[in-house]
Amino acid sequence: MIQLTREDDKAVIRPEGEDVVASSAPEIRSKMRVALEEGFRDLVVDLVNVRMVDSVGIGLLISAHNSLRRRGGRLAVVHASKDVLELFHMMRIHQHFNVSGD
Amino acid sequence: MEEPSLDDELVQDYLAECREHLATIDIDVLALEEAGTEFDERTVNRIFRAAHSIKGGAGVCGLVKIRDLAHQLEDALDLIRTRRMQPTTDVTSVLLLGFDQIRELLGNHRESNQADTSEFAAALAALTADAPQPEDGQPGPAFDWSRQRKGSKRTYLIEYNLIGDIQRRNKTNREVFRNLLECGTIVETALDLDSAGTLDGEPSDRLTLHLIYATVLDPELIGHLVEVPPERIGLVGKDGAVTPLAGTAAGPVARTAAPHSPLSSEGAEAVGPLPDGGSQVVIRPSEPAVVAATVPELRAKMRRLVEAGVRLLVVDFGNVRMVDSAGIGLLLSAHSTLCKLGGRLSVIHASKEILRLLQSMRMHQHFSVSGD
Repeated sequence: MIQLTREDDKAVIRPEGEDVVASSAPEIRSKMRVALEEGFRDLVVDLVNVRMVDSVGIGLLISAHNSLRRRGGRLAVVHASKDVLELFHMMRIHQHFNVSGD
Repeated sequence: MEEPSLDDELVQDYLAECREHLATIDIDVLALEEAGTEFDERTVNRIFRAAHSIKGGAGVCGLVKIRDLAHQLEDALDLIRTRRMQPTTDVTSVLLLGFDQIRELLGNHRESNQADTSEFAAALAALTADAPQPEDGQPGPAFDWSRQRKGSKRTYLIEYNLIGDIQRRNKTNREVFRNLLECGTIVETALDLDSAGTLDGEPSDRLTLHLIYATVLDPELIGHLVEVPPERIGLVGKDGAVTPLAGTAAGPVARTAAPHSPLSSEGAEAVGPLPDGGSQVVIRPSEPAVVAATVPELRAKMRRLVEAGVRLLVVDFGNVRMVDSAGIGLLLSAHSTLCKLGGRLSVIHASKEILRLLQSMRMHQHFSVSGD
């Protein structure tokens, strides 16, 4: 189940009890598109309940970053677990958009 | 927290544990400094874990100054291992200073909470103020080739398709990276953001990660370790030139010419205008990506031009958004062929990102590369 909440000028997407992986990516992607269509340019992905992000998940986050940048906005990832953060650092994702841990 | 007492077994155990950590830490810090950008991730992780343990134990024993000092060291080490700060001599001196201060405080732990550790705090603040913060769209510092370790280590530029090469084969990124780390050092990584596409249209089925990997494995063996086809593995020469492994027979890899066959071949076809009767032609790649999949067509086009007598080949990168090691290999091989015929290659209108990539690979030392 993927929560999409609207907070002032940004949309927050929070997967609940789902990992950000190939099987959940289509639903997360469509929620992101909803946020874009509503005119949000800043998106926050809250990974507080996520244990794992696979390559399809990373690809999805980057495609969101690409789309948001074109609209002059930005993506931020928050509450990433230690393992996820380590993977992101290994791929230097933190050099492209903000990722933070607990 | 009550003050630690001399007879406190907990404190004594903690002090003994710290002595063990600190016994070898200077050697590890100096090893970091010596290795420069090519430091061993295991070394920095070892130092980080030592600082982390010292911090944790200090907290339990109520030794707050030692705990805070260890925490600052841990933060600094984190900046190093995430490559936001390089272990230069300035940095390692501060680290050594910090660990020395911890030794002093441990030696006099009963008074350590009243000690003054502002000297280290100031030195560390000065360093970390320069550490880069994440910035949108800014790639990290270009790899400094001059610090590449000499000796029998080879450096490879590997292009992974994280979704095709790894995920679809039921592996995880962590497993793959762990395997790599067993046999060498991951010097740098760079994600190709464009390969992920955007939220519009169909989701991308690929995610490209470029990796610079230093290892003793030679070209015949590297393919088995990384499980990536040889055209996506490039051997990096000491001057930074990249030579794709595709097509090499067993034996040393040629350092200048790519192992692709030279450009001359049958058939001739003039493409584009030939200004002032000379043999200069401008070609524009038809796809925005000069990568393994699009290289054959581009190579064929270049071959036809050389056959037609073109000696000054200008490649207009105005619409090119992506180049991989196969693309770089093609540029090098084209340049090499043209040089042998008394001509040369140049690349114009390269985007900022591609310029940076080509320059960091020292391509501009071989052929002319310019931006908008």
